[in-house]
Amino acid sequence: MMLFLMAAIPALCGVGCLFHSWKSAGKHGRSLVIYGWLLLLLSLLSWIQLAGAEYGVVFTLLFPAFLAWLMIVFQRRKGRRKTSAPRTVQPMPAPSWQGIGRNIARFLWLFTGLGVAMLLVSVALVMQFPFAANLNLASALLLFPLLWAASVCWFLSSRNPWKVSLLSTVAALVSSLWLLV
Amino acid sequence: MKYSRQLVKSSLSAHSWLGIGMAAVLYLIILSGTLVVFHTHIERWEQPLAAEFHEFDAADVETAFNEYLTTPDNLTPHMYLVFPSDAMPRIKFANEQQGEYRNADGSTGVPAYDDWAHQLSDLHYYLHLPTNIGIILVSAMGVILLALIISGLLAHPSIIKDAFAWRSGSERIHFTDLHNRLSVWGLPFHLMMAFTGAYFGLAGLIILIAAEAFHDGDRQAVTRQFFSGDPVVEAQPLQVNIQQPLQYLNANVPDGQLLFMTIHEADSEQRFQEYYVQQPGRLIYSENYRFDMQGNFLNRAGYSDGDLAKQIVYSIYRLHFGNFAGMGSKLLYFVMGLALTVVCVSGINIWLNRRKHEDLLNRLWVAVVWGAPLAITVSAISGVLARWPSVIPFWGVILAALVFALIVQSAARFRRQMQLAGILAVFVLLAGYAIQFGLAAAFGAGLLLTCGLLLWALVLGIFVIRSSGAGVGKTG
Repeated sequence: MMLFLMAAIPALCGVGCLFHSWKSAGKHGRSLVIYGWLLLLLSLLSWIQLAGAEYGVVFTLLFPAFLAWLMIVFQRRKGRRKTSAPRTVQPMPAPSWQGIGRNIARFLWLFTGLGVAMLLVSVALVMQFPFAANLNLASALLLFPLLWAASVCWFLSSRNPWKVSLLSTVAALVSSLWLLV
Repeated sequence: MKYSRQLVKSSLSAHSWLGIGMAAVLYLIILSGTLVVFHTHIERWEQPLAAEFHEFDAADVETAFNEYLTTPDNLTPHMYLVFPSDAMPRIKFANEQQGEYRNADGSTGVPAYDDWAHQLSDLHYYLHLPTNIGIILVSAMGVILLALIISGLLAHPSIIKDAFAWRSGSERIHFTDLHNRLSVWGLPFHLMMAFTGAYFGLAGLIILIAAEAFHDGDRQAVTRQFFSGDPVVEAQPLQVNIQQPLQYLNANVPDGQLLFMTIHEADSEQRFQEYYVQQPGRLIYSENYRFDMQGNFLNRAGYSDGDLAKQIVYSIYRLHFGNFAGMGSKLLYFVMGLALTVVCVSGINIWLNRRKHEDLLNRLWVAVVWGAPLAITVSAISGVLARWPSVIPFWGVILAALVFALIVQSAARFRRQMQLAGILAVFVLLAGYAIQFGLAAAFGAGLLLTCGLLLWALVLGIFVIRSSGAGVGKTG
């Protein structure tokens, strides 16, 4: 219990400092932010002392969220939530088959096309890493989802998604040539 | 943080497109994953009549397991003996199809019913699809979650300015602040779930490419770099000695938590036994000790001190499901999982609120959001009380809710009806459970689930009362 308090109290104080720096937004704001992060770092050491390095890091990452959510709930500006004026209930507009087709094609490309492309690129990239072969492959477990997700975001937010698709295809072709030929 | 206006706008558009397209599937995966954190408690609740204990007589259990093993109808390639642990203080004998609980002296106990628990975990792992397709689809949702995180961060230029803000105001502002605050502070958990969730299905694809590229298509050669290969044994008898391995483990791993033993290749003469022992303070699922059938030590898999890659890969399961530090980590994961569920729902609510009107989409979203917990409860009535399959009732309720969404006129009224149906289903389930197993069981082995269900009925009741004011709640 003592060790738990030694971990929880610095975390509470750390999030509290961040909260007060946010709330005051004044001249002490910056120093409070620094103290806040230092206290969270201190709580990491206590969590490690309490639960070991592996569990300790997980608790340090997850625990502050609870404290922050509690502070958000308690400082919530009291005021009656405005209820929206009743809206008109309308029938669904007739579906645009062209729009549905375009969205399905997009989904298929994001799921299969970009997925396969980033799989090839990730495996080709991690094999250039200077670690043991199995650690390189384990790195692909991080890199593949990250590259896939980043390419999905890039595709969807780009003004020219064709360019993104073309670049991904070229990268996949180069990777597959390197890997499989 | 300075973002260009164009970047914010395009990221928000990407975030919306992904969220709207994938929300229903993500919601089912996240909701079921949140419940699956308590998988062992659900299994105990599903069969509360099994004897619970921590101490047992190894000689008696060995004799009983050998009887079970040598019964021809029971034999499958893998045979399991689950030992009592803190999370599951029971002994279970199982093959690949079914299992049965045993008493501390090895005598026959009650059948091990776990259909509903498996239905829930199969929903989370595969969405009830064929496993090889389902696991890839669910893992791809891990990538979609990651893409939502990236686009959400880029679309949120005032992330620091709003770090603790929760404004009162319109329903849309309420949902926007709720969505953003839960997302930003839960970010480490969301990233952890996205990466570890993506692992389960995508690892197979990485292995496939690496095998083609470097091992002439031999996938086993790649897998062996992470998971220890089987030991080579001479012709082994079917009778198994478990006393000697237990003595070995007591002497050599006194702090470890013995989980279960598997007999591999049980239907061939190359059979051997493997003991899974959890290591204190470690995220690896277990360290595995292999013995021949006479109980002679063969080797250790080396997950606890093998190379780093092996340890990382073998840690992902417990990191994803949160079953590493007893009830504390489970509760932590449960609350974080609930928060992620709220993030998913509030994201769509923001979008629905932004529209000037209400239409079928509002009601379909209500059908998904409130239909899923109702479907889970109804599937429990079918699976736990009637011992019928629980997958068909689950999807049946979801389908019925979607059909009702086509008929009803108002989303708010439909939501209240779904919530009332949810309360009714919980009370039917609990009443049936108390009649079938008795109150002692409901508040014994099933205490956590029984209390959880009562709490859920209470929460639904509060929602019903709060939403009874006119004009409130056109969204999920």
